[in-house]
Amino acid sequence: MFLLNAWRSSAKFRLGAALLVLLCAIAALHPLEVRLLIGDADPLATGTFDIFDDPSIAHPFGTDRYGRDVLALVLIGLLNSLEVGLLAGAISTILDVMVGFVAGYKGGGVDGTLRTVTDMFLVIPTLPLLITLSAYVRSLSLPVLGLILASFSWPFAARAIRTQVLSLRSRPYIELARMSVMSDAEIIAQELLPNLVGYIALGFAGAALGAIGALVGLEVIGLGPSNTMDLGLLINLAQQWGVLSLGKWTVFTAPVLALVSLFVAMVLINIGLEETFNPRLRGVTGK
Amino acid sequence: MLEAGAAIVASQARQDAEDRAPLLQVEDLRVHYASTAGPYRVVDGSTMTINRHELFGLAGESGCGKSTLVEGILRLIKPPGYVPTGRVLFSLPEAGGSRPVDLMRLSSKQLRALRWRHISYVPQGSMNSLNPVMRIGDQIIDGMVTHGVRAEAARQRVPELLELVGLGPELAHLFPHELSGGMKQRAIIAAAVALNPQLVVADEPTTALDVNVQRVVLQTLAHLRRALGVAIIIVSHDLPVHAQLVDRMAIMYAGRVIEIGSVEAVFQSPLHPYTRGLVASIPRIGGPRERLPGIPGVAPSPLSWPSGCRFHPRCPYAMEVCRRAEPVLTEISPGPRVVAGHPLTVSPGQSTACHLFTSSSAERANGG
Amino acid sequence: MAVSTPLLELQNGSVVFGGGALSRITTVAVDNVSFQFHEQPPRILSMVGESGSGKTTIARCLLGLAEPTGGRVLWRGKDICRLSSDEFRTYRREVQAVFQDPYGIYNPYYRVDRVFDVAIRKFGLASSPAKSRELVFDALRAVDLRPDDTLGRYPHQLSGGERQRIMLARAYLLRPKVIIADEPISMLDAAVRTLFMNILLDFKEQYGVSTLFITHDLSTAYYLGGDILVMEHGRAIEAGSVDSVMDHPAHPYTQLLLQSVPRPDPRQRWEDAPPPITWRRPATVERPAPQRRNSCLFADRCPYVMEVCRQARPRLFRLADQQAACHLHAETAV
Repeated sequence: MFLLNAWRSSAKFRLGAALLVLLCAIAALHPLEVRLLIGDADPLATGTFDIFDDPSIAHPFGTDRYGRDVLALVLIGLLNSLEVGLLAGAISTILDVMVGFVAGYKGGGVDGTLRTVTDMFLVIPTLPLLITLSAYVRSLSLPVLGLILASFSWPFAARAIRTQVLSLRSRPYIELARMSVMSDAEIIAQELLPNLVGYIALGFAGAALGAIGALVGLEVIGLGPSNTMDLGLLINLAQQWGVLSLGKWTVFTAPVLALVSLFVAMVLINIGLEETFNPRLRGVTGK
Repeated sequence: MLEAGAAIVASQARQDAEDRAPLLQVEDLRVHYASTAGPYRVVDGSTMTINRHELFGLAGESGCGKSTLVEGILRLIKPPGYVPTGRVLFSLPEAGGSRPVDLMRLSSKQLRALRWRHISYVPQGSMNSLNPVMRIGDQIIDGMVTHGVRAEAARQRVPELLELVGLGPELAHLFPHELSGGMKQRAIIAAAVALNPQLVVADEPTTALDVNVQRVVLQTLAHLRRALGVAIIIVSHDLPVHAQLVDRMAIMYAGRVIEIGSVEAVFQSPLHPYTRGLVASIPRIGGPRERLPGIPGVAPSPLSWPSGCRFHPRCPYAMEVCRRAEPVLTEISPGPRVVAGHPLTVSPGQSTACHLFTSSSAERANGG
Repeated sequence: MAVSTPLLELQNGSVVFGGGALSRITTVAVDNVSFQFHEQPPRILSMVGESGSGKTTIARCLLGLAEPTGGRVLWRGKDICRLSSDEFRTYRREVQAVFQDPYGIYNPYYRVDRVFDVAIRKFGLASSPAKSRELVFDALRAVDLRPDDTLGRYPHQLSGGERQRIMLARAYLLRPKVIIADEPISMLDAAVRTLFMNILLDFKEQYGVSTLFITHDLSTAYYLGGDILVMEHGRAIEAGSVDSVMDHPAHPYTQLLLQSVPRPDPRQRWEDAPPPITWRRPATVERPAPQRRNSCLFADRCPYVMEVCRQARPRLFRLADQQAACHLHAETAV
């Protein structure tokens, strides 16, 4: 229901959501598209085509150093980046919802403990830790990667949710729920959760964006896991091969374009959601 | 000093109100709010006259538009609100008399010169908008200096102003949080009369105050009229407050003024069925032990005003004409009459907007 | 004849805030207040006092939303902190609340129907959806609301008066024995207030429901009849029937309150009567006096103050028609 609100009231959300859906569709359909492009060949196999071909009908973005079709690589990369982002976002959201709601509603000692844990995670410097991690674990699978990234993004949303729950829990309708003998779990799930769906969605969008960004950051400096072909790795490879000085700039711009589109989509969704839920950011409607 | 002769002076003041000249004449003022679904006609036709030195009450339930009406009069409406029509004639004093100016036509510079000097406004909840880090005396001085008074003269006036509202001069050194709600409200009123305006508009001056404090604030307002001769418009949904304080009053319903009269007339012999229902719903301490009727139904909102007379869905005497045509606020000729089976005595100056009094089909219904 | 166990009782209830390890400042919100409701005869007790007099705190204790620091809340003779979960459920059903704010009491996410559905579900009142609908329609009729106009709406689509009446309907649905109403009509318009109070009177006369009616408006207390308890700074300073107390108030504070009520009659105006007490006193006295355990808390504002008033706390002296905590009546007390 709240998504409908956001859709209706924010043009930015509409644009961002449409773009994201488009990108997801493109990524999901990648086997079909790859087949269209290069037939039955494996897009990751080296030597399939000529090295560093210029863009043509057959290869809209040319080929890379190992003779692989760049567009096909970007399609695969997009899928993987999306997967990591959404996975990290989902795990992060589950964590921050649980912690935020319980801390905010229960208060007292439970709140104190959870807050300390949240703050501990908040203070950990993410990027240095990720760099250190990557020095030890060179080949991480996607799910594990998602989990690691999620563990650094959940505290932010958890704090925001906790604050909101704190302000809502003394509302009269919560007291009425207590007087109707509803259990704490029922109150959290039925009374508080629906009113905070906006914040939860915001947390999800933020975490997903942060995860993709962190991963790209790592990979571009060459410290990311190297077994998965995703957009950040593509960019890193392009840099390594020095494609810009070779004049084969499509090898670089293709993944960058895809990445930028993804970011723009997610940022627009973020802003659109914020506008919907934070009345002060909306234009004056006179209501 | 305050008590002695107060009663005599009060009745004298009320007597004098009879032959007073009009101070503020509101003519068909409307306030609408623009929206994608068409304009919200929040205030839709209000005509009334406030006389010099008069305590005038504006009554009505929440949502009837009374606060919006006074904001319209004071040119405080902001977009998407706008004033499509209406004149507000104010008798601006000048050498050797006064001349009427239409407040709706003044420039913002002229309005600024008018505000505080001639017309003051005490908005709803203003006691909570005192600057918490300034002393009370300084805030009053500030207000005066902003409107052209020299700082030294302002400073000297503060104790006098505080005394006018029954506060000791030592209060000038205190901060707002050191005062109770009633004291803050009185301090605000003191600031409002600092430049001796002809008119003060007070919106719900006693809501949110405890009942004994309410009495003090209301008596303060009455005292100000005696001492300074200032006219005061009091906006309040609380009818007993009007009964205790004002000389004349207007009742609003659904954005329109539907009855005007002296306070005695409105309470003893209300003309409009809504006023009658409202007055009959007030519990009286010491009154007979019987059930009061109330008014069935729900007050309409600007989103969907009923057609014709806006009260007709809830009116026990609604006629066909009430559904079709909006009744116009009309002064009714004084004297006894029977309306819808009720014997009434219309007092001089009593007006109402009701077909029972003005349309010919009513004559038949009233058996006249 | 044995006196029956009261249905709901506040026994020497006190609530003190602060005073723990971290806060030296203590505020006595409620100071040794007692009253009872019996199943028969049902009665309406109006609790009257200024803001900060402790009325809402008492209501929250009676509803189990707050715990008294002294004394107990007893339901059918049992301390509500010590009820089994079944007994607690019955207590929650028999003691219902109507709060002041007709806006905040609804979860804006849901339609208003939900307040009924939750109540029916959690208290097991209906075995089928048809029976459930019957109960809801019956409850709405009892408060003079039409199901078509009310059900299926969101809270913001209804007026404050309708929302408060839905709360009453919900209470009615649960067949309570006592309704705790905390300033239920102060945010409503005059005409709707009367309707609301009439419903409370009907509940008493037709269904035997008692009401604790908390208000700052003495005229509504008068209209409801029954008994009255006047609170000042957390203490009960006068108690008795509404007719006795309002006709001949024994405590100067009650007299002050009565004098301050604006009468809806232009022929009986204040300016024709002497000004009230607070006008004559120096302005600074309007602020509440710091709490002193061993004195009368009204002493600073009282025109009849004596030595003893500042030295000993007056207890509720029993007079012919009422009780009053005022040293003026110490001699005539029974």
